[in-house]
Amino acid sequence: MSNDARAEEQQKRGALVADGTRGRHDEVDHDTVPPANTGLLVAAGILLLIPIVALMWVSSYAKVEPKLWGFPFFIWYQFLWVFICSAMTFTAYKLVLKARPHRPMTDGRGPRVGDERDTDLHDGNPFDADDPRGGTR
Amino acid sequence: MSNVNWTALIVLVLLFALVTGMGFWATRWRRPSSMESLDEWGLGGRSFGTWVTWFLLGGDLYTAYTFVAVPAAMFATGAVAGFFAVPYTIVLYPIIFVFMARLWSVSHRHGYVTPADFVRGRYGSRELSLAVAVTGFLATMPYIALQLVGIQAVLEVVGLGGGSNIIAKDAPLFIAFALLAAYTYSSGLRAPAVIAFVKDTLIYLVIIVAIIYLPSKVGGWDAVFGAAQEKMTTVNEATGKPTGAFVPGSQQMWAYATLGLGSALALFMYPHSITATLSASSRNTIRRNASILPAYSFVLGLLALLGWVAIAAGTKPVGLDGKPNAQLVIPQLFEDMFPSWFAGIAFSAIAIGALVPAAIMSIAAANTFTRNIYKEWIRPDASPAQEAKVSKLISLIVKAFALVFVLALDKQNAINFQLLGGIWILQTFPAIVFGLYTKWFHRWGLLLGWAVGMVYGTWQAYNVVNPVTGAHFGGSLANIPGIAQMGYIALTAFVINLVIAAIVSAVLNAMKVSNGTDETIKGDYFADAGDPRVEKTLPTGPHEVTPSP
Repeated sequence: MSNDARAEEQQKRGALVADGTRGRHDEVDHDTVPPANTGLLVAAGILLLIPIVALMWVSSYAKVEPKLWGFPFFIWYQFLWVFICSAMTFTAYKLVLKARPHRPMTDGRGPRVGDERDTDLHDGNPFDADDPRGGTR
Repeated sequence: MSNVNWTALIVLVLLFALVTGMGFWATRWRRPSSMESLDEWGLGGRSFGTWVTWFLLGGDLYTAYTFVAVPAAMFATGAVAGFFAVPYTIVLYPIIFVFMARLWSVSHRHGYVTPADFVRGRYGSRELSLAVAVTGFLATMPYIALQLVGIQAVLEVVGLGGGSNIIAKDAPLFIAFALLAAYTYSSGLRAPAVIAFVKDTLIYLVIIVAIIYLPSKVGGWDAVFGAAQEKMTTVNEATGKPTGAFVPGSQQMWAYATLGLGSALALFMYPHSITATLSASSRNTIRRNASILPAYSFVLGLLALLGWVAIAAGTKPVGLDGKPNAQLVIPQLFEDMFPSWFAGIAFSAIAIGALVPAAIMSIAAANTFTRNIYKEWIRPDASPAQEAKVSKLISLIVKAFALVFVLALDKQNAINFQLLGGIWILQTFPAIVFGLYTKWFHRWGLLLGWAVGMVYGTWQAYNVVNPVTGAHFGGSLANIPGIAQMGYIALTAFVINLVIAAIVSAVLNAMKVSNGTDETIKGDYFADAGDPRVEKTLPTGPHEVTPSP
């Protein structure tokens, strides 16, 4: 790496710190679990556990009555859980994203923001590759 | 050939030609600079976003065999053997939500392609890694063979495959599989990813039409459930017991729950599920998918009910050999009730539905062989290009083997092995999933637990005798020791596996026996796209550059 390139590298890193979105990563010990809001994680865990408990408790729904549009309770109740479980999983997803923000692992090696070899990285938003809204996370 | 449904057959051939073309074209889709590595050929460049992954995983997990076997089970023995697929595919997603993101992250950092790669890196144990790899390989093989059974069921109802000439009889299946093998060879995981769009669209279309149109033709849902209840409560002459279950009785609740939970825990231990997950471009792709994949579960539930619609419709699933065969019930129902052209679309949905999982499974099995057997034990200095070459070759061999398996042996063998595969694959859960969280479990404890689980599960499954035919491997339920209830053998074996792994780990940890070198660090389990890869000893290769989408 030439001196010029190195200087440019330093400048980019400086810009990252200056815009306040990310600090200097070099000082982070990556052999640790990134910090998280435990309360939110527990809440997400409970949301994920509820459907499992509900569906494993077969005696609570192994019956024919009450019927709904001709469907036995056993059938429509489980169909209902498809939607409830999906909603709970989605809520849990939002919670875990909030509970533990991503801690970047840039350690001076490998591609980083501004790397022209990487089409996703050089647009300045390295983490939006599969976000259909193409933007903020 | 007199009973051939020509309209349906022409529709089937046209749609089949379409996906074949797409399969070969897929090599240009998101074109990589080179296909010569497992990251490109075997994982589609690790670049798939949320929706591609949704189609791919949906196409991968909800297989043609599922679409044939679940309604067949509903038709033959009712809710316990059939409808458990619904709670199974509901609780599946909260479970994988918890650990799959971690597996994605650590695999992304270290360039792992298979679960056995991870086990190797985490425990530094070639033996445990081999156990995971061999189990995955063995469990996947019959699953591929069963996709053929799905295609066969369709061809049989269309009227192909009859006659005594063995070449003419199996030629259509042979051609279908040869084409599949060819485009999988050239396009890798990109082929099933592209075809999955067609497959899933057809499946949704057919099932939604069927579920709206068919019940009205047989007198409405009341008539459907009435007929099902009547059939299930009628005493079966061969066994002296009711034919099946309309809703699970008090002695069947454990069976229903353990089948659902055990299958859900097992599904993402299969190499093909993990391959589809690791091909995602970010850590959170799989989590987002956990809340949108249940759309397929809903459709699977509707499909299961079609098994009961067939009871009300009086469908007679009889094979070309003249024997009743419940596996044919859904194709036969479509043939009886739909106009020929739509029956053709419905058959295509099932046949194409077999191609996507068969392709992904053969890729996953090939990756497993290449990474964890060939590179680990035979050629440790294999380059990424050589790995891709071996993997492509193995994907052909695996499919050829599946074809021979189905054509030369009794279909029942494939079904038996698939049943065993489900039991076996769950025994790799502790090494993979617990390993994502803790190194408390000791590699030798995990290996011993796995071995005991495998033996116990196989032995119990062997002991299940079909009351009518007297054959072994008659089902996946056995008495749970100490509970006096029937339960899924895989889950019982899993619990035994767990207890042994825990006891041995406690002893070995107390004796301070080395648990292997761990090449991962805690932060690896939270890495996301954009984080640098850990450089391997190879100076160039797929490992160091973050994938470009």
